[in-house]
Amino acid sequence: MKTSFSLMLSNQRRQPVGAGPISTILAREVIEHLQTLRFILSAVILTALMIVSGLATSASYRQVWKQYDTNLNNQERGLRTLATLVDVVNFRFTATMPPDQWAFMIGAQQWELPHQVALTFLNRGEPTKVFTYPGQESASLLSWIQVVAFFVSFMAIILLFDAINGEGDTLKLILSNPVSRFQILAGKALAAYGVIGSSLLTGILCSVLVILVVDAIPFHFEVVYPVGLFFGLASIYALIFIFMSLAASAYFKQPTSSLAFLLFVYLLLVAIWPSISGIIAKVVSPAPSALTVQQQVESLQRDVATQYLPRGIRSEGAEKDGYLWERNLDQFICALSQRHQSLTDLVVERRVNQIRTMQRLAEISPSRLLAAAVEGGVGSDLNQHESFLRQAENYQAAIQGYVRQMDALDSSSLHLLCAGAYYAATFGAASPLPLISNKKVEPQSIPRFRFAPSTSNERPREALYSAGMLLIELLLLMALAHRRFARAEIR
Amino acid sequence: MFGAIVWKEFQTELTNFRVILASLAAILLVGITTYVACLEFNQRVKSYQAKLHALSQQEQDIYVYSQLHPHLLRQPEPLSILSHGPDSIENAEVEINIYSLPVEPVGNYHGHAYQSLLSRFDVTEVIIFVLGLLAFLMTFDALCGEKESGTLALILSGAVPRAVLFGGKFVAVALCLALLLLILYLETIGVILSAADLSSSSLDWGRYTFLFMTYLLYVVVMILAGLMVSGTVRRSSTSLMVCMLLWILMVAAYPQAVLSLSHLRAPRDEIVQMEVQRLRAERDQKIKSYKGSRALFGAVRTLDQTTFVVRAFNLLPTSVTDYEKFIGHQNRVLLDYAQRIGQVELAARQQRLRHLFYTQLLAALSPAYALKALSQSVAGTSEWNHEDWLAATRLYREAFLNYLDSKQGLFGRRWFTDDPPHWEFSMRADLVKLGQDPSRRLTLSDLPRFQYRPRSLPSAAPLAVGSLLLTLLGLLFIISGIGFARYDPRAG
Repeated sequence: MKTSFSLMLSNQRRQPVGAGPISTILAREVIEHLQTLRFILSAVILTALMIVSGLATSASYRQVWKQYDTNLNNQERGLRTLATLVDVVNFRFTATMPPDQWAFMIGAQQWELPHQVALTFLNRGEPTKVFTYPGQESASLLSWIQVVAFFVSFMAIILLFDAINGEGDTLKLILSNPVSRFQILAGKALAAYGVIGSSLLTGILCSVLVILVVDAIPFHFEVVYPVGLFFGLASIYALIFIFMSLAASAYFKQPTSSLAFLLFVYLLLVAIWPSISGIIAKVVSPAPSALTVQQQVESLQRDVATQYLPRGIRSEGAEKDGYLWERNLDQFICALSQRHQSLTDLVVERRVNQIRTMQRLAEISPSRLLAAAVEGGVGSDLNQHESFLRQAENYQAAIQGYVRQMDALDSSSLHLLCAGAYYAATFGAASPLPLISNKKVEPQSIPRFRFAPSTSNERPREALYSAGMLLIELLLLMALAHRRFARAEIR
Repeated sequence: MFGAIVWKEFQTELTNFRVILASLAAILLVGITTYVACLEFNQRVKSYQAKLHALSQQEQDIYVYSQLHPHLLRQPEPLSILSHGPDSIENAEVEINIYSLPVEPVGNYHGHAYQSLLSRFDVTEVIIFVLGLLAFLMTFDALCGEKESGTLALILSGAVPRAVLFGGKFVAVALCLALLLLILYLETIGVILSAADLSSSSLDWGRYTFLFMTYLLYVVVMILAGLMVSGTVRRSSTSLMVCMLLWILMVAAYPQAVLSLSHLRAPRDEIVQMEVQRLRAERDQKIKSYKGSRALFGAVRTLDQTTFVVRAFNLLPTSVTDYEKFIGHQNRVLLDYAQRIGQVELAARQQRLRHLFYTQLLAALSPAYALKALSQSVAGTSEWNHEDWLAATRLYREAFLNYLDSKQGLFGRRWFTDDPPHWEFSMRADLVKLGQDPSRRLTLSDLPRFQYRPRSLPSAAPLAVGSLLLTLLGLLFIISGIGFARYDPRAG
C-alpha cells in the first residue's frame, strides 16, 4: 500500500483534466488490489466456492425434484384406486411443497423447514421433512447465501484490515495535498467494492453457466430476478464489512490489532450470534417438547373418553336402538380429532413463532439480515412456509367438504362421518355398518393439492424490512468509518 | 536454555490481551453450549424413558405371538453433550418383526424439527472455531515478529540452536492451550454434573478424557500450521493474513465444499426402491396365490390386518386347522422375502456408507473436519457407531425368531390363537373373552432381551481419520522445521 500512495502522489500531477481525486484513488487502489496475493487467493476461493455451491445444490435439487415427482405420482395413483367414500376417508392424502430451483440454490432455508403434511379426513399431522439425503446432515449443503455470508465478509476484512493503519507515512504526504479525508475513504471503499463485487459477480456467472451447461437447463429470463436480487443484497452486505474494516483500520494503530478485532466481530456476528439467538429464542418463546405433546395427547384421550364414550360394547340389536352406540362413538371421535387437531396446530404455531423470534433476534447479525432479505425475495422464507401450512389446512377442509357433500347425497347412509372414518382406518373396507355412504365415487372428482406460491410481485414487500435494516446498518457504518477516519491522528 | 525460552514465551502469551480475550470467549461459549446441550440431553433421556415405559406396558398386554413386535431403542449417548452426531440418528428406534430386517432406524425424538435451521453448536465446534483461531493468533508472529523487530538475529547469534528456539516457542504455545483445555475440561465436567440428569458413574471417564486429548491433538496441529506460516513469510501482517485464509479454509470452506460436492456423486436410491417394490409385490402375490386363500379372506384387504380382523369379525368360514396351514405358508414367505428385501436394502446402505466414508476421508484432510469426525466416533454419535448398533439389532432379530419358533409361535397356531388345539373359533364371544381375561396373556419372562455394548475399539473409518490427523501433524512438523531451518533471520 505504501507504494500505491507514493505512486498516486506522483500520478496526481499528471492526472487528466476533469478526473477528480476520488477516481484517481479508486483506479490506483483497484490496480493495487488486483496485484496482491490476498485478493487473487480469495477471489479464486470465492469463485470455486460459488461453482461448487451451484453444482452441489442443483444436483441435490434434481434429486429432491425426483422424489417430489415420485411422491406426486404415487399419490395420484393412489387417488385413482379410490372407489367409495370409505376408501376416501381412509386414504392418506399428502400436501407437499414443490421445490423451486433458484430459491433452493440461493437460500437453502426452505429445505430445512418441514415441507410435507400428511392428512386424512379426521386429522392433519405435523409437517415433516421428507426430502433428505440419508446419512448426511442437510447443513452440509453449501448455498449461495452461506458462501456470501461466510466468505465475502471475510474477504472484505482480509483486503481492508490495514487499509489506513498500514499506510504509514504516505497518508501524511497525501493529506498535505488538496485531497479531503472523505475522498480517500470513498476511493478506498469504492475500489474494494469494485474488486469484491466483480469477483462475486464472476462467481455467480460461472456458477449459473456451469449449471446451465451441466444440467442442460434452457435459459429463462426469470432467472435474472432472483440472481439480480441476490447480487444487489450481497453488495450491500459486502459494503457493510468494507466500511466496518475501514473504521477498524482507522481506529487501531496496528494492522494486527485491527485484524484481530475484525475477526472477533466477524466470528461473533456471522457464526456465534445466530446460534446464540436460537438458544435465547428457545427460552423466550418455548415450544412444547415431543414428550409434553405425547403426554397431552394421552390426557386428552382420557378426558374425551370419560366424557363421551359410553361403557360397554356395542349391543347385538344395534339397529333397533337406532345405532345409539355408533352415534355416541361418532361424537367421541369427532371431539377427539378436533381437540387433537387444535393441539397439533398449537404446537406448529409455537414452533413457527419460535423460529420467528430466533430470526428477529439473529437479525442483529448482517449475515442473517442478508439471508432473510434474499429468502423473502426469492420466496423460500418462513412466510412461504406458513402459506403452505394454510394451504394444507384448506386442502383438508376441501376433502372434508367433498366427503360431506357426497355422503349427503346417499339416503341410506347414517351420516356418521367421524365414526365411519375411524372404522375405515381400523378395519379397512370391511366395516359392515352403513355409517357412511358406500356408493361409488368418481376418483377424478376428489380434490387435489396444488401449491400456490406467492408471486414475485408480492415477495419484495416481505423482503423489504430486512433489506431496509441492512441499508440502515450500512449507513451507520459509513458514518462511523467517516468519523473514525476524520479523527484519526496521522503522524 | 530450552526451559528459559519456554518460560519466557509462556509468560508473554499468558499476558497477551488477545489471548486473554479469546480464552474468555472460549470459556463462556463452552459453558453456554454445554449447558444447552445438557438441557437437550435431559429431554432426550426423558423421551427415551417415556417410550421405554410405554413399550413395557404394551408388552404386558399381549395374547398371541403375532402381536409381539419388540421395539429396540438406542439409549442417548452421554457424550453427545460434547459432540452430537447427525440429527437423524438421535434416539434411534427399530421394530423387530418378521416382515423386515432393521436397516434404517426411525428416530423417536423430534425436538429439532425447526431448530436445525441455524446450526446447532456443540463444544467440539467451539473448539474447532475458537481454539483453532486462538492457535493461529498466538503463532502468526512468533517467528516473523521476532525478525521484524530484529530480535531473531540477536537470539540466534547467542549460540541458541534454531531447533531449540522453534521447539521452545511450540511447547510454550501448546502448554498455554493445554492449560485452557484443562480449564474447559473441568468446566464441562462441572456443568454436566450439575445440569444433566447423569451421575458421575454413568459417564465414561476414559472416553471423556480421550475426547479432550483429540482436542489437544487438533490444537497442536493448528499451532504447527501457524508456526509454519510464521517461519516462511517475512512480515507479520502477511503471516496473519495467510493464517486467517488458512483458518477459514480449514474450518469452513474446504470441508463444506467437499461435503457439498459429495452430493454430485451420491448413490441414487431409485433402483433400490424399485427393486424393493418389485420384491414386495412378488411376496404379496405368493401369499395370495395360496390355495384356498380366497375362501379364507373374502373381505380382508391387507395382510397386517388379518389377525385383527379374524378376531373382530366373523370372517373365517373354514376351520382353524386350514388357517394354521395358511399362516405357516404366509410366515415362511414373509421371512424369506424379509431376508431378500433386507439384503437389497442393506447393500444400498453399505454403498451409502462407503460413499460417506470416502467423503469424510477427503474432508478430513482439513484438521477441523478430522477432529469433528474423530470426536463423534469417540463420543459414540457417529454414523459408524450407529451402524454397529443396527448390526446388533439384526443379530437380536435372529434370536427373537428362534425364540418364536421354539414356542411354536412362528409357523403354528400360537401365532394367532392361544385356544387349545381342538377348539374352533366362536368369534365375537371370543373377542370379548380375550379382552377381559388377563390370565390368557403371554408371559414373556424368557424372551431374549436386547443388549448392546459399544465396542471399545473404534471402527475403521475413525481410525483412518485419526491416523490422517497424526500424519498431518508429522508432516507439518517436518515442513515447519525445515522451513525455519532455512529462514533468513535478518530484518528488513
